[in-house]
Amino acid sequence: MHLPNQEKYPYSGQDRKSQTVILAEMAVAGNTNAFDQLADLYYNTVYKMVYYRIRSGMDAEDVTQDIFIQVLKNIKNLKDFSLFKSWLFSIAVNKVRDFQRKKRFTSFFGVFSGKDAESEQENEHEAGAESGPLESVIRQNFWKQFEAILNRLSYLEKEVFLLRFIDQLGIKEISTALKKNESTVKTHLYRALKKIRDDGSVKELLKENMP
Amino acid sequence: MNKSNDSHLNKEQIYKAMIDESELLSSEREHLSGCSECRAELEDFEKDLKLLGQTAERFVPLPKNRMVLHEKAGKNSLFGWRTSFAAAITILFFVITMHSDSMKLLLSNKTDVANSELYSEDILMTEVNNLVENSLPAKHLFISREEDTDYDEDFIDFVVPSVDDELLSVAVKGGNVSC
Repeated sequence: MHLPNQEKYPYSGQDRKSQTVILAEMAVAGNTNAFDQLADLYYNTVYKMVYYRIRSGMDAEDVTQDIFIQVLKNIKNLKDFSLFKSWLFSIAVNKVRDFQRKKRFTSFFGVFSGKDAESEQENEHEAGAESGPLESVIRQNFWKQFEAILNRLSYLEKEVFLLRFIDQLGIKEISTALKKNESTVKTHLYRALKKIRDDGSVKELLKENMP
Repeated sequence: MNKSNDSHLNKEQIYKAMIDESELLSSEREHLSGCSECRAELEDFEKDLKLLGQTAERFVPLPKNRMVLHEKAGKNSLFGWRTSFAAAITILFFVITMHSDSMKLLLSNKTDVANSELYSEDILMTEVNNLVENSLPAKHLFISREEDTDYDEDFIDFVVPSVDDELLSVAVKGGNVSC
């Protein structure tokens, strides 16, 4: 059982990387406690990464859990533990894509749409209760505009943009996570930046949501 | 796209610099390091995107449930293993039972049906042969004495001579048909 706690690991980038390698090696050797620590270390990063893409807390928790179960099952196949973060993100990107495909499929046939809307309303209500109604409205408005900005991008442009500027991954890490070469990543990133900067939508979004 | 040191970078070059400064030409890099205006434009864009990331992070709701990994993964695999093993055994049992029973039934049914069909065919063929050889019943054969006769073709020709084609055609032309 894990309780996600980001503050528990206030490591710098390099410390985190070496910590990851040690924990991953121990986890592969069969140390379940080491795997729990590794999952704790990355839980918040992965949960947020999933939330940025599907924008539902409950679904993001489920998808995050699926991602870590897949990591647990396949970590023994990872050859270079220094690439753990890129590998983790490649699993996460695929899981999110699977989830979005399933959701599109079910909503196309109208299956579970009522249940989804209900659970999402409940989720928003809980978020509102947590932070106050005004904050809840601002939050909803932000995600609506955020989605509108991303919808102007193609799938790859969107993914590359999110990984680089929202998830804060480097070009090399993105290239490994998406299994694309670096120049392809840069080309898509360039196109995404051009679209986003040219219409001034980011500036507008930030102006409205600045505290 | 090639810029001299004193002309500012255009938007495309600023985007390139955002992605990777090493993508710029050396003259462009030099300009960027020396030009406060271009540096400010780049930093402004970088600041916007950083702020976007921070705001997005701030608006992510906290996860509510604890993550269960080993139990779920273990339970899943154990449940999956047990279920699939039980299902495989059950299916195997049914397949073997059904197969052996149905095969037995099918084989016995097949031989019975084949035997009875052969038997009825034999009876039928015997009756047909009897009728071909002796078209009349036995007592009628006795009355007609046909049972003792063994007519050959010469005898039949003698009793019923074959019609001569030429004679027949002449007779038809003349309008007289005589036997």
